[in-house]
Amino acid sequence: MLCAEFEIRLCDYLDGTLEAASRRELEQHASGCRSCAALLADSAVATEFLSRAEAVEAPRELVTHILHRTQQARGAFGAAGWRSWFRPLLQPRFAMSMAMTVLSISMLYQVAGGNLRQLQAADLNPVNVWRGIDNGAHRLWNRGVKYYQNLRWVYEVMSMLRSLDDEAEQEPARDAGQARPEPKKIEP
Amino acid sequence: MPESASLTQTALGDPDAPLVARCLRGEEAAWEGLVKLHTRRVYSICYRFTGSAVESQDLTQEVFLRVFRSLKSFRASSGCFRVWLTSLTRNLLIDHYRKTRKEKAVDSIEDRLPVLEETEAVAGRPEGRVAGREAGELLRTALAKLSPELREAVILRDLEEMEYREIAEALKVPDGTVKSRISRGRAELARLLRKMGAVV
Repeated sequence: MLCAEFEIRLCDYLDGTLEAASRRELEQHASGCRSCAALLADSAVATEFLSRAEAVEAPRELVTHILHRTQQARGAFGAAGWRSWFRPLLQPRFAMSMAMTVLSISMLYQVAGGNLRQLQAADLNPVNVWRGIDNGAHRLWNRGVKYYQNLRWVYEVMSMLRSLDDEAEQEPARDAGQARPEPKKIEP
Repeated sequence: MPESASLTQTALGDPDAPLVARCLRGEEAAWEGLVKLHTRRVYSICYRFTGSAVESQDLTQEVFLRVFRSLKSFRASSGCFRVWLTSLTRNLLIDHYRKTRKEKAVDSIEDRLPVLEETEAVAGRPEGRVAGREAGELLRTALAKLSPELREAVILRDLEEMEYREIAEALKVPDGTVKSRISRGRAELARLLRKMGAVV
């Protein structure tokens, strides 16, 4: 028996699966070859030590992590065709933003004088939409200006400013009157 | 033997075949079952090979991601799922080993201090006989010093208790090469353990 063959058959020898004749042959080789005898002894020691080692247990959360990651991968690869394009839009944050945008547009439309309940196809014409927005914006502006001017404290401040302006206009006239030299009498 | 007959026989011999078939039909429960069934084994192989719990968790997740993406390419006729999974794990571990080899070569002495202290403590014991968790830790240190070829062979045979034929399929080498690597790996491991004082 060659040493290379011994190396291969040693596994079966240690497993106890070799036939009696092969076992004897292997033992005979080991008794005459120092390196193979050492290999046999070392292999037996290692096998015995390996059997004593504690089994490795995976962390409990590992299965959850794996399932989570494969779920993500399923999300990335699962959707087919054009539907996959819309998948990001259906995420809660985007859905919320879209809802807010629709709400804002509808509020703007209401402000512009439109009535969502009586919406007609002609109302969606860009010219009509623009006219409505322009009209609504002017009305809103005028309403805002009136409201502002009718505020009591605004009225008071403005009247105070007006009186200050009046005083400021009168003062130069008075100063001019004081500073004017009296006309000298001209002797005949 | 006709291909269909061979396929049936292989499928019958593979305990994972029904789960895999259900996974391929898109059943999420089947996938969950498959993950639960094999997580411990994949993690164990990764941990024995790398010696790091954090790296092993990442690698295990990566293995299952690969399985998830390439399950369609698995053919029951070409072997059982367990062997295919082992082969996939082994390939990922080898890739990882190649990537991290340079980083590990320059490991600082601080990283090795706990191991050195442990070795001294074990060597001080009269019988030098250790078991359980302590044996596991010493084994981790010794396995890290084996070459990847011998390491994977010893892990798959002695720690994962795979058949020689299955290991040969997973590693894509002849049975004789597997047995030869296992014998040399065991002998090298025994020498390393002796140096550490773990065995007499």
